[in-house]
This record gives sequence, structure tokens and C-alpha cells, in this order.
Amino acid sequence: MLPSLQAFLLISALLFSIGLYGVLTRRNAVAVLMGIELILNAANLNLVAFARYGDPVRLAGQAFAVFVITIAAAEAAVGLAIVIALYRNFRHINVDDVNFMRW
Amino acid sequence: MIPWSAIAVGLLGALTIGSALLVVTLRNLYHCALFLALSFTGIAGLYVVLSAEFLAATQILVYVGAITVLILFAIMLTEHIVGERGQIVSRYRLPSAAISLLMALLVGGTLWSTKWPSQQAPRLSATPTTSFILGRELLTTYLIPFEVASVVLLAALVGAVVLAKQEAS
Repeated sequence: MLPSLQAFLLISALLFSIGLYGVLTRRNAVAVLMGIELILNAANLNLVAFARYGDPVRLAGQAFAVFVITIAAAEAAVGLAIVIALYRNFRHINVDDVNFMRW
Repeated sequence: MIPWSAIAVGLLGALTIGSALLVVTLRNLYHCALFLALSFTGIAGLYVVLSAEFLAATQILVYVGAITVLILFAIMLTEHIVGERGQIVSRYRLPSAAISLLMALLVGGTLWSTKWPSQQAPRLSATPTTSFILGRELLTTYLIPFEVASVVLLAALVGAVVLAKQEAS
């Protein structure tokens, strides 16, 4: 017998908040990316839980989760390439100090 | 009768949340990346409990296998600043913690007080399996997004190479 839907949603909400904390507090760009990955995983967990409890015949939630994973992979590749380019130009990857596009 | 699924969800949830907390608090970025992999593995276990076998395998392959390795590469390529003992968390630590906590309380309270239409999971028939359904849906209902996703991946691949390439001087 599976636990109720709330158990999964609660895990997902906690994971999202932890990821948010990581994104807001970290200064290192790679650590910020790790927080974003946690947030995307929280969203995926929600989608899969809703697919299991609400729509086990068509599984739209799982199909969405597949696309989220695809986009997350693309995001990680481009994000880390930006980090490498940042490091080559600035010799550091502190997101606090990269503010030359701010006026 | 022992509620094995509930025990599994509790343990996997604790593993996921605990290692996620370590990801955002540890000072050493190598350890953060390794705990990130552990957190992803816990989520793959939760997918198995939710009978999403294909997604569990994809989670292990893409997140634990590919993205964690990519992050480790990025950490190593920017290494000498990692060992630096400077300030690694921003000065907005307390407001950020307050915002995150508020977010968790708000979402948690909302989902607790909401009346969900389906509290209990409906029983799944043994056939077709969720992987079968997912494969069929991806190649019928979601065929165009499926094809567009391959173009997006190609664009991301080319874009990443162009961004990270050493510029000719």
C-alpha cells in the first residue's frame, strides 16, 4: 500500500526549498547550478507522483518528466560551458562579482 | 501486514532530503557534488516506488551518470578557487534561509490543507507496464515534442562547444 499523495508532495516541497536556499546563498556558480538541479528534480518528483495518483492510464506526468530531464541535461551542458568561459575571462566564478551587465 | 512502501518512501525521502541539505551547506564542492549524486539516487528510488521504472533508469543514467560527472569536471577545471578558504556563502544568508523556510511552510501547509481528488493510488494492472505506456505516448501523443527535443539537444551541444571553446587570439 503506497502512502498518501501528500508524502511525495512534502518531500518535493522540502527539496525545492533546499534547492532555493542553495541558489540564493552560494557564491560559486557551479554550486548555484547544483541548487538548480535540485529544484528541477523536485518538480520531476511532483510530476511523477501526480501521474501515479491521478492519471495512471495515460501517464502525462511521466512524459513531462522525460522532457524536463532532457531540458535539464541541455541546461547543465550550456550552464557549465558558461562557467568555463567565465573562469577563462575573470579567473574566478563568483556570481556576486560578475555584475558588468548591471547598470 | 508491514507497510513496506511507506517505510521505503520514508527512508528514501530522508536520504534525498538529508543529502540535499549537505549539498547546500558543505564547504567542499567535491563533497557537494558527491552528495548531489546520492540525492539523485534517492529520487530514482522514489520513482521505483511510484512504479516509474523507465524514469528511474533515466534518472540514474542522466543525473547520476552524466550531470554529476559534468559538474565534477567543471569543479576540477576551476580548481584552484575551490580550495580557497574565502567566504563561500553570500552575505544574504539569513534572509535566504528565511525565504526558503517560508516557502517550505507555505507549500507544505497548502498541500496539507488541500483536498486532493485521489488520496490513494489506484491499483495498476500488470500489463501494460508504465514503460510500455510511456513509450507509446512518446511516439504518438508527444511525437512532435519528442522530435523537437532532439533538435534542442543538438543546439545545446553546439552552443556548449562554442561557449567553452578557446577563442583564437
